[in-house]
Amino acid sequence: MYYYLVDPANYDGKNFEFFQTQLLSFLGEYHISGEVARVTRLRTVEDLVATALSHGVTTLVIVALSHGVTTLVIVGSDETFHKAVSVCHGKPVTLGFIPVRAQSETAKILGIEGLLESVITIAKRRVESLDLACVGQTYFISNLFFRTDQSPAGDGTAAEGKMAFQSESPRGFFSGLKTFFRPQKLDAVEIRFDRSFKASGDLFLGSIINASDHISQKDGVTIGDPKDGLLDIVLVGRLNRFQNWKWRKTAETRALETFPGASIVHAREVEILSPVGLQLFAGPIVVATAPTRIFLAEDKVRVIVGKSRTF
Amino acid sequence: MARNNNNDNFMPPSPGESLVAETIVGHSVKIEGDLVSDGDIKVDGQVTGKVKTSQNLFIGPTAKIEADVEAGNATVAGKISGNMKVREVLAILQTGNVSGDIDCGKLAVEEGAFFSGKCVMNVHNGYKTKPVSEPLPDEE
Repeated sequence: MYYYLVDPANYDGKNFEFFQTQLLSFLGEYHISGEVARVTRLRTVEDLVATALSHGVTTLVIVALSHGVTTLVIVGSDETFHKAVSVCHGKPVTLGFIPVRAQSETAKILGIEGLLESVITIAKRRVESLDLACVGQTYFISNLFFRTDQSPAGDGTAAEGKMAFQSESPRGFFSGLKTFFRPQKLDAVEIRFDRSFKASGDLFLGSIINASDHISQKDGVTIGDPKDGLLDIVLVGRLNRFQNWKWRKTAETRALETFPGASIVHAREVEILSPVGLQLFAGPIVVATAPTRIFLAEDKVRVIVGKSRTF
Repeated sequence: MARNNNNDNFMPPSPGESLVAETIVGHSVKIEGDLVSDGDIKVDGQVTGKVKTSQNLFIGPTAKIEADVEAGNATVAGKISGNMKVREVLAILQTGNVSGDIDCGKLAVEEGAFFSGKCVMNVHNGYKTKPVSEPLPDEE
């Protein structure tokens, strides 16, 4: 049974009603119609997923009849998908994803493009079991990112869960010059891997990758395979002024493994020990602050994937 | 900690040549503890503790290692203070500096390299030289 959880929160088009009508039409056309629940201010993603999966008394009227959900399709943004994954982990349910934004990291990872293609992907139902990483209470299949030059020092826990990512490099020629002349103030980062060894240094950027939205090969090794049972950690140290200016756009795309002198480590568990308050981002959202622990969960998550997936 | 990697026909890479490494310790990173991997390791930074891999290890020219090292094959272009145990080929390149005892199957030392310590060639675990000619069968 298909259950569609629709979250219009981050829709980047003009008319969401039209989008939803189109969606329902395609679902009927491909014979994968199911129950549809829409996220509102009173019904959060977590509530809808939890009640959709429960077989007992439901708290929401709209999902009261939803028993025996085997396939939960998230129609929403990356944030909606993350929330749903956090609730679904360990439960016998297959997840699908239909993005409501043109730029979606999760959609790229899963190989889904556009509304019609997403519906076709759901209908074809190619299911893969993917590793599920966890930081704090948040489970994710994608990756986390940090940069030390723009994170607030001290206790930054208040910023968790907020859209606080301000790392986009300034655009334009003069802004680029500003980047060139701006001194790089970096904090010493200390990270422990698998409780076995510790890495430290003046790091500029870092990424903890379960799956990545770009296929990346560093010296022949694929980075960001969510089926290998490992997290890939990429760390970039201090850059000189010219490098900082030259690679500013690559920092935005987060392809850190292409940076000169990047370090790559594979581990099942990563502990970011310092600096205290270093913010970890999943997309534009702060999901945790250091000190924190990121690890691969025992459970895998079953997700419907498309042909152009990155793994 | 790594994916499968075939180390047959190992050829030590030259310093400029890139190595297919699964774990890379960049020049700005310092590692403390046991860096253990089943895949190839490339070190350009500093390591204190222990380095162990069953595959290939490449110590770059900027690397400083104060650790005991165990590897399937190793190429050293940087500085190592510690004992090395290499199952097959150990190559110390021109810029290499090894202070410690080495135990390896086969050793290659480039002109200009520095090595201070004892060397044991282990024929049991590592590379076995073939006899030049087969012994003739006994005539009855």
